[in-house]
Amino acid sequence: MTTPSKNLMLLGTRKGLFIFELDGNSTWQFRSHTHIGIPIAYAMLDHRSGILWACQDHGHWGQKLVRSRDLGETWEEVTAPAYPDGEQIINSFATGGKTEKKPATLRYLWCMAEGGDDRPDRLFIGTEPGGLFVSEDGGDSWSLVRGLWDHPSRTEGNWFGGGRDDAGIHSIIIDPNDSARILIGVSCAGVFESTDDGTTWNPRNTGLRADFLPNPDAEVGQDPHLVVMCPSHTDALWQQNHCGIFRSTDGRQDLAGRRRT
Amino acid sequence: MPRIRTTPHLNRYFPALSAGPVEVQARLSVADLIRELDRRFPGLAAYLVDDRGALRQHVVVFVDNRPIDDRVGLSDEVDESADVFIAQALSGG
Repeated sequence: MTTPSKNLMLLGTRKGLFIFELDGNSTWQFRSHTHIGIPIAYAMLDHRSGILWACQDHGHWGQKLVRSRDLGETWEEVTAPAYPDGEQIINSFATGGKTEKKPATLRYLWCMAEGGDDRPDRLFIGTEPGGLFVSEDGGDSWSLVRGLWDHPSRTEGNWFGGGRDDAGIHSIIIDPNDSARILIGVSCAGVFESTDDGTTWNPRNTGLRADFLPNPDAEVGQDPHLVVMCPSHTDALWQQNHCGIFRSTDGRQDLAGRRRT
Repeated sequence: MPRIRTTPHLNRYFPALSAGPVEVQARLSVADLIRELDRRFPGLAAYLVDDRGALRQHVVVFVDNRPIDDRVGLSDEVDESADVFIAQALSGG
């Protein structure tokens, strides 16, 4: 279907999802308010399929994933990602200085991303407590991206919560020129990149600052709030954190750019 | 035959629950009971328990007006004459 994605504005709020549409006079017109009273952590229109997605953050009933094939007129709930049995959150910065381990369960569906134009059925979801999930069947089923979850920086306990209790993935970028290249932002851990479809990952935090850490230049432990790529110049990345706004113009090796003061 | 009532807040997501209390056959554990509810109301279990099957933090199951003891394994027994009530936490001031 043809999707008027540039003419739609999706607003996920604590009171539900609002959709506005741009009319011929360049005025935003209210279109719908759905999921009334339910916090919407993230909403996305998949421009490949025309499917609208929303991540619900129920206070009591957990995290739910819903989709609409008619731009929000009707919705269906699909099975949300789940952490496999036995997976653990490992935090070496827990109170008391001891490494804390606790069962990993889905706490938040923080962001979603399309998997690339050449992978029309691939979707990603970033979650708290730090798991990246991938679907290869248009969102009907999800699996944990093991290469990231098993990264030594996480299993050694160097991921931890920032604004939320545990580490979470809030940014997912797929290179529009190479869908095997994936960048994510983790709060707190930093920016990670895979160039092999998510099999292996490397931190990309050189040049970032975290003034609140004992080592402000730590490779892992940064607290990006958002990471974005310039869609027309994919070597340009932007990252914002407590300490400023940073950019990288070499696309991958570092975010050394400069600090905005 | 255990009789199960659920908070009306769940009716929004599972309208069939509004038909009234659910009765299940035989004596069973709370875990069995939630499995049976999920069979009758597909998807309901995910609203009550997390990925590992433990009761969600702000959900409570009362058996004969007492909150269950085992919120992780859900091993509390529900006898044949039990009244079960499933609710969410309420807070505020």
